Amino acid sequence: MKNTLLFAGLLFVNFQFFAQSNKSTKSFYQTYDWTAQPKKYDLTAEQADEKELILFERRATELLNADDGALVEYRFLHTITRLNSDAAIEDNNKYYVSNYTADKIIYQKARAIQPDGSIIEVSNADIKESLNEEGNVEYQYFAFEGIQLGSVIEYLQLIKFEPYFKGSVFLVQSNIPKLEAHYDLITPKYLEYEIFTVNGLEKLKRDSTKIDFIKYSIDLFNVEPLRSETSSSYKANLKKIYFKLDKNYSTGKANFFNYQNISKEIYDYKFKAISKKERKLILGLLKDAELKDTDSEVEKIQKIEKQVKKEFIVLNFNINQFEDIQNIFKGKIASEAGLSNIMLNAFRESNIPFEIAITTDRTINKFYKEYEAWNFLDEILFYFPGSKMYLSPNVNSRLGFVPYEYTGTNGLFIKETKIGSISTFESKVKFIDYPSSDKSKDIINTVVSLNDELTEAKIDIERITSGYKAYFYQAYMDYYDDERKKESQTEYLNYIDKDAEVKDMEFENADTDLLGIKPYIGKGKIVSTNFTENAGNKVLFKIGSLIGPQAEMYNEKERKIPVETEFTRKYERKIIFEVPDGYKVKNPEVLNMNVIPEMAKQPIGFTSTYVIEGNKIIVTVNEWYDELTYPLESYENYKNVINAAADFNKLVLVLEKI
Amino acid sequence: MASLSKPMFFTMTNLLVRSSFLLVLLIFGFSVSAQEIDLKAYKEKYPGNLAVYKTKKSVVTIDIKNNVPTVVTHYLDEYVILDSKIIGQFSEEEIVFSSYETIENIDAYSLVPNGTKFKKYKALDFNTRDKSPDGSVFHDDNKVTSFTYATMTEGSVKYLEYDEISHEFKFPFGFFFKSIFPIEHAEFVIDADSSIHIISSLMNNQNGLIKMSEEIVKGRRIIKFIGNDIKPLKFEDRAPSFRVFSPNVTSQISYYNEKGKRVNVLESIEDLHNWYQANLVEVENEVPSDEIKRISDSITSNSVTELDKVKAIYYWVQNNIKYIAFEEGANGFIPRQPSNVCRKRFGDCKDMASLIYSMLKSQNITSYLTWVGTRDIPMQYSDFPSTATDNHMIAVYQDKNGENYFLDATSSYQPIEIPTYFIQDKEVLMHKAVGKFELAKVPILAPEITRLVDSSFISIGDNKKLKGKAIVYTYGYYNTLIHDAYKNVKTEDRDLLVSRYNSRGNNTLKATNAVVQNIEKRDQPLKVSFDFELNNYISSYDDEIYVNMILDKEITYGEIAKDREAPLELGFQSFDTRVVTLEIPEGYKVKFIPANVNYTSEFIEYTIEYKMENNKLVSVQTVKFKFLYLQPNQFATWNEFNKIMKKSLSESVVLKKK
Repeated sequence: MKNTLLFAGLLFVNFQFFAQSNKSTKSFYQTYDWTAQPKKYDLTAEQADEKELILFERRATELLNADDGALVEYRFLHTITRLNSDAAIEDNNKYYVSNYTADKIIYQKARAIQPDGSIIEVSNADIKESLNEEGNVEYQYFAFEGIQLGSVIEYLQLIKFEPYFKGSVFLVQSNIPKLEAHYDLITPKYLEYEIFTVNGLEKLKRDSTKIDFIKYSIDLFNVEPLRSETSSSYKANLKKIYFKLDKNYSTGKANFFNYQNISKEIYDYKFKAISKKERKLILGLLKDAELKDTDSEVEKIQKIEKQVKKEFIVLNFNINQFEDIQNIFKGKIASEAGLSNIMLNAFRESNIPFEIAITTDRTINKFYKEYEAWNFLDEILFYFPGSKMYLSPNVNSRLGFVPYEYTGTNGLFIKETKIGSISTFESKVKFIDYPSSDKSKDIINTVVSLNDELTEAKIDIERITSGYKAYFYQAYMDYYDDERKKESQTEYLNYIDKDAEVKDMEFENADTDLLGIKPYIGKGKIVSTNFTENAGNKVLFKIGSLIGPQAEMYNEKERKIPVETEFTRKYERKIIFEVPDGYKVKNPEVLNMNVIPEMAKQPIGFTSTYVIEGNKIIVTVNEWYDELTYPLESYENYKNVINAAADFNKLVLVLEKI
Repeated sequence: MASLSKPMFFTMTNLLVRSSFLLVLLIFGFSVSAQEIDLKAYKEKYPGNLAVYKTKKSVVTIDIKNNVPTVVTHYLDEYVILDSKIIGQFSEEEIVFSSYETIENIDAYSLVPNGTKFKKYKALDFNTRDKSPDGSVFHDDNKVTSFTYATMTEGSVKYLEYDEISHEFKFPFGFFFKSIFPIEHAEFVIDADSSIHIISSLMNNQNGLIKMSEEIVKGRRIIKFIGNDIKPLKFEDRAPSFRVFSPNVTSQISYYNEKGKRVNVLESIEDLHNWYQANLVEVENEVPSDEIKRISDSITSNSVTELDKVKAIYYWVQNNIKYIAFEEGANGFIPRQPSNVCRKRFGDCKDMASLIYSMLKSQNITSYLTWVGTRDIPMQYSDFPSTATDNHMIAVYQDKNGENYFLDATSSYQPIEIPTYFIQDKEVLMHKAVGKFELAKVPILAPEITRLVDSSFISIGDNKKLKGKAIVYTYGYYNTLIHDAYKNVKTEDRDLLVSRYNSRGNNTLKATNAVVQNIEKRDQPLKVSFDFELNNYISSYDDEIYVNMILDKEITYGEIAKDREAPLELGFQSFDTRVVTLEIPEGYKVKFIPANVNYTSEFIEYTIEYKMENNKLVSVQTVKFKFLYLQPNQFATWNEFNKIMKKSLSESVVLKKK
């Protein structure tokens, strides 16, 4: 389902345009059936050991002219799955079918085949329906009966839908192996899909034996599973088939969904002229934002963003009341789409040059330039060419730091232009740049001394974070009650010792509106017994713990997916350790560490150095990740830097009485 | 667990994403005068709170109509918004109800300050639909009416009133004197015809906060429970359900007089049993089906004693019947026919109990269908016999000595001697025959039942690597918890699983050659053995090596905060022993051994003993928890233990070159 948040108004489009009288009004799958006697599968030992195994899968989408000539869409599914563990049974014995927007269920069958060959078919009476407010079926669900270890479940359905041409997808790969998988796309012979396969999946082939309609298909055997990995965009790396309607041979038209006409559709909807009343409301808002002529463009944008996000409550569900400017001002409640309408008009009225950029969550889909459709158009951002910064209607984000999933990927940029007095637009697919690593820093400064018994460490801690490293804390400050705020701030400082009580907490810039403008600074005092160990006449000081717990990649399987991180970042740590009177540190040299992989421009690294000044040991630690993504061949390098920090975390100084 | 009881005491705020395609209606407000809300005074009285529950009130009106009692509950909720942060959450409201209730006369609006008056905005976007089942229930017939408060600001009042008409006068009615917001005035009123007699159970009123009164006024029996200025509920780790420790009242009709004749409703356990037993008639009357007989014969063919047979049947049901709950109307109370459950291979708690009952019957073994409440229900049957007292069903087998075995197959790895942990200390109501029942209590199992015996044999390898072999035996509830993880992991991933879920040493732990034994033998301890390696765990300097022999430092959680309000809850009592045997490297001697620890209190025992055995140093650490609930006045004991434990974890053995 496309994002209704953004384009609720664009959902209903008249598709009668594609109607044509045609003889073939029956679905290709109308008479498809499973074999009464299920096929026996000879599994290898390895296949038989799989906890869950898809023995067979066939999916199809078919466009067809109904008797009245109107175009309809059939979606066909046939799966046969072997369940060989309790977890697999529990994951599969309850079946939900969402029939949102479904027009008619042509058939729907399910059965379980037991290891002894007996078959239990789910009867129609056992299929439950959940009704929405109009009394329509929202989804159906049932439980497979009689399932045991080694059972095979089979499901078959053909459902008629309102046709959707604008961009759909088949997921070919998952974390479950598939012995056999088939995907078919069928259109009447005057229509044709554009099909785009990704992540190493070969192209679909046209079946030249079919002359009454066009059929593209792909037949796959032994589809390897892809398992989720740390620091990766798992879903974006799965083999998939994207498709959209592309050609109508009867009219000679083609390329219906290209970014030029999609941009026009979005432009017409989002940039439409507002009424006098609406304009008055927007001007009032700008007045409240107190823009000054002397303000820089960035300051103006920040003031508008602050005012809009303060003025209106944003609800994460969409009713039209919350998208309409007049209603929003009345009720003070907006949807994100409504908020973006207000922002757009506010920037327009204050003559700040901007573009909108429409994009998608890069952890789920890569935005492929070469396939133009609605698949990747879910979220709206504002782009300001003057400062090259982005802004999101998301209430927690602030200028320059939009939700990270929408950075580091392409977007469809739309800009309003004027030809004479006529407003029109320009659009282009461009890369949405992400902030450099020095914009998202995490700095921890600690000054540590020990009590006389050397059992307790007294730590003065200061933590300074900026950009995305502050996001998780600073962005939520205006939305927390006092108790939750205190909890968040305690967490921010006792990061280095989760049991510790933090005293004398002081915070600066604890304000959502300062995200991206000023760093989030917390200071406090911790007294903890977790940093020292007694070892006879020696004391072990766990200095490494002062950088806080670190992510590690010590035990990893062979890497399959490139590393993709949330955002680029830098860590800086300074530790001032006051060596107790009468003691000396026997092994300060362990504090020297240097892991900078040989890569062009040294995008990642971990270093640690120290100096001794009087009774103080001063340690400086730097760690940086300047790129968002690292190809498979750089994986070892990335892992080594991550693990270097985790190794530092375990460093211990030996203190001995002089 | 299935919820056997249906009454619902709450309206819930729901924040799920929902879309709706209503026409845009302009929002209109009406000016009204309302009682004065002094926002400033409220903010001072409830600092840091986002809203105050101004009135939380339920009035239950009971009359006799057509010779039967009718029960109507009138709900009234009135909040004052103290901070606009809460508006998003407050905007969507829903009332969930089952087929045993009808909702009528909803009056929902917000009062928004407007000068010295208020503007009244009616809630909008009302709709009623099937509720998506959540939690453990797969299918029920609950419905939800939802609506939106589209206009609210700081200082606004959110108001909701409605009637809930009960279709079952035997159900109890109740009230919670707690909310996540401070409550200014809470009131629960029962207004009944004076011929109707009521019993009530007021729980957790330790501080006398809730005042109760009963009087007869003009032929009406008026019972009131009133509480003022109630502190908000805090969310605290390892806290029991808030019902267990905060004030709440449950009431029901005990009997009424009709034309001078007393008509019993629910006054005693006898009454409850008399009512409940009708639900069991069909299960009791069913002759075990051929399939039940065949399976039961086959799995008990090698059983010697009757208990062996019970065990075989109980374990078969655990292994083969998956938990799926259908709760439609009376199906929430009536177990399904055993033959049906057996064929389907799934069911809820009642269905599993029903199948166990029938399988045992097929072997001429008597068992009893039994109702019980889980530990998150504060009442026992002897406190208050009602449908609110239980929510679960099991089967009970009594051996010749009268010993009870509590058979609860909703847990898939439960040895027969051990009742499921969540019904410990609860009364059970056993159905023995028509008109005959027995009350018994599930024991609290001693710590010795749930044991961990963990042995590590470690030696020091090259590069300060610690090498070791571990053998871990687990018993009792530990097994029921960890069993699934081992059962569902692929053999090739077992080492990785052991490495990741192990807090031995540090996170570099790499496990190899992991072997898991007794995975299908509930009566045996689970045995996991593996080899391991740890980097950067031991330190050394010059001719000394420092080894902290307490490898696993995550024994339990830390200090209890001073202001904690909820009791500390454990799932079960436990007794852990960890033995670490260190081989002294050749050429080294032991220079320092930490002191032994011996701590005993009423609730906790904790010991560490170090001893030399030939060229090996052995540490034995034990932790015993002898409670299920620790009350606030007992927290000092915990913190005392915590301090001693923490200190004991920061002690290293020193080895020195000879």
